[in-house]
Formats: sequence, C-alpha cells, structure tokens
Amino acid sequence: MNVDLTAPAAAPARTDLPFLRHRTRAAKPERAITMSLDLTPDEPIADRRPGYQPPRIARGERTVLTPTAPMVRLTRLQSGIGLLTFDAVWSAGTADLRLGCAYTLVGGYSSVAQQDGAHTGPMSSRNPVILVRQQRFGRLTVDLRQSRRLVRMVVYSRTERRHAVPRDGNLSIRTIGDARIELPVGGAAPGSVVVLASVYTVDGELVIRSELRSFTGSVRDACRAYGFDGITWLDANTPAN
Amino acid sequence: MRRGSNVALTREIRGLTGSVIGIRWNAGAEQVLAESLVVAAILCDANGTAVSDEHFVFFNQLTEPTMSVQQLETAMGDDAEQIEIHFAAVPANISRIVVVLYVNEGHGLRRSLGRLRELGVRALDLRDGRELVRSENFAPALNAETALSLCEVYRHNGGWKFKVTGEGYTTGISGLAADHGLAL
Repeated sequence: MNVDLTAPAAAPARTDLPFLRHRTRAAKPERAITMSLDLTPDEPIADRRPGYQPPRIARGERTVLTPTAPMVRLTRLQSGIGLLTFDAVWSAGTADLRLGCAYTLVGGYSSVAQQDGAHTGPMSSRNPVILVRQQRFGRLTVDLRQSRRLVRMVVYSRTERRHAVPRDGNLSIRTIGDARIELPVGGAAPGSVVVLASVYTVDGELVIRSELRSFTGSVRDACRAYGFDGITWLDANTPAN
Repeated sequence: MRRGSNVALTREIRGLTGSVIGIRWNAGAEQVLAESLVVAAILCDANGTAVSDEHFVFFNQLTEPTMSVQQLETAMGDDAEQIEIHFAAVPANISRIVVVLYVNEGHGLRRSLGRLRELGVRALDLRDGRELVRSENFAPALNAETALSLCEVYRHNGGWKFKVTGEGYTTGISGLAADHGLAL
C-alpha cells in the first residue's frame, strides 16, 4: 500500500509561525511556596450557585404548574410547619382511581404508601410522616414536623379496573398558609400508573415538580423508573412490609 | 418566676455574654403529642414584628442570617430543646426575641397543650450553663391552647432582660405567626 506523505501543493505558507514562536508572553504570577495547609485560592471563587431557582409561592397564592414552568420551591417555613396536603380531583365515573406515593426517608428506607394496603409511611407507624386517606378521590398528607426525615417522594395515581385516567383531573397541593399548587392531569391509557408529581428536600426546602409521566405497567415499574430500587415487592403493586 | 415577671439579666449577672433558653416538658403517655411539639424563636423589631421569614428559628431553620440566635439540634442536660442567644451578635434592629412552643398540626386528632403534665422555661448562662432563672410550671393553667409564647429576651437600657410571658393561643401557630407579622 502506498501512502502519499507529501504536503498538498495548495497549502498556504505559514508566515506567522516565527512571530508566534518568539512573541513575549505575559509572565505568570508566581505563587509563593509555603508549608501552610490553607488551600484557599488567592483569587475569589466565582459564585457557583445554579443559575435557575424555582419560583416561590406566597401565602394564599395559587400557581399552576405547566410544562414550561414545572417547579415551585417552598420556603423553610412552608416546608416545616403544618401539613402538606395533596388532593386529587377527577371527573365523575372514576371511583376506582387511587392515589399513592413512593418515598425515601433519611437512612435510606424506601417504600410505598397508597390507599389500598399500607397507607402510612413508614408502614405501621404510630406517628407517620406520610398518610394516604380514603377520601372520595384520594388525599395524601405529609406531616411537616417530620419533613427533615423525608428525602424525596413521587405521587402517583393508578386504576384498579383498568379504566382510563380521565382527561379532566387536577392534583391540588396545599400548604398551611393556603398556598395552592395545581397540576392539571391529562388523560392516560387504561391500566396506567401516572406519576403526577415529585417532591425533593433541598437544603430544608421542599421542591415540587410536575412529572405527568405515564407507565403502562405496574406501580413497581413506575417506582423503579424513578430510582426506587430498594423496595421489596409482594406483587407488582404491593410492597412487602 | 411567675408569668409577667422579668429580670434584668445583664445588670444582675456581670460579664454575661449570652443566654441559653431551655424548654422542658412532660407529656406523660402522650408520646405523639411530645413528638408534635415545636420550639421556635422569633426575632422581632421594636414593634414586635418578625423582621423576615429568615428570622424564625426552629428545627427546619436552625439559625438566622447573623447566627446570633441558634437552636441546638441536640439539647444538653434535662431540657427538651435549647436556644442560644449571643447578645453582642444580635443585630441592632432586633429588639425582642420571643420564644414560643406550638403543636404542629399532624395527621391525627387535634391535640392541645392542655394535655401536658409539666411545661417550663429557664435561662442559663451561656458561658458555663449555670441556671440563672426558671419559670413556674405553665401546665396547670393550660387547656385548649395549641401555641404558647413562653418568654421574651429583650433590650432594655443598653442591656438585656428576660420576661416570662406564658400567653396562649387556641389558633395554633397560624395565630401566633399572624400576631408577629409572619406569613406562613
């Protein structure tokens, strides 16, 4: 095999090379050698805070989470006082639609609380962090006295009889000061598990995000998709105690 | 000290640099009530209004921006909760530090402070933890209250005074916060 290593005839001559090789460069400031263990840089470090901070919501205000504005951030007071209440409201004819959540607590304990089966988080707790109640459409509450125990949670809905999730639904989240966060919930296929919202604790503040991701499988599939890998399951929709 | 009485801390104790406010209670068999109790310090201006949300010191916000008032994550001694106040570091616009106790509204039945068997507050010397003063037992006088202003530490003639208040609220933390201009 012959390889032609000659330079292309059309290559322009590099007349700038002598200048680039012999130009004077600005001298680097020499750092004094010291035995000190103080590694603080000489120059101040630029502010490394993220550019985006989710918006706040004030007492008595109402905000609707949308695909373009999917997040809201509670203050430390809103994240630590009273209850955080999730209310699901659906159009008529969907009585078998159930609300539930997967959660992780400090220490790594993860499980599921839902209307049927274990409805407290942690399971069988005398003073639970999370409680799912048998209301008409489902209500989930988080005891914010224990908010420092909560690492994260995702709230989902599912149907028992494989009905479609209705198009006219709403998940309303309320703080003690009646700040309301609303998520319009679109339709989903029959038998779907729809992850409606996620809640993360960030530096003592709860960040709520609209998710609206539909899974055609089971609660277990939805939980695994959100990284809840530490849950042991009795069946596809029921966690083991 | 009875409700309404006060003492000039910095005048009585020479060289006092700060105080630890200790709160103790006995809920008997009411374990869930004990787990629902929250102690907080509200840093107020001369009008008794909280300076901002960040000046509400409690378990989810253990200090305020200048770190002059801090809640200890783990109280020392027999107190259930403790709050440290460093007098010299308290900003000039803070005139009064109100220490409160409230029942966090949980999932279950509404509980009140009237179920407590014992409730008291005391002031300690920040330097060595020596007890300076303590309040009477508030519990016998409590009934349907769900929040209580326990005591105040406030500026007076260039020094600091400690006053036992014991004023109850049946409207819980919402009523107490509204009284101090805090929007929850």
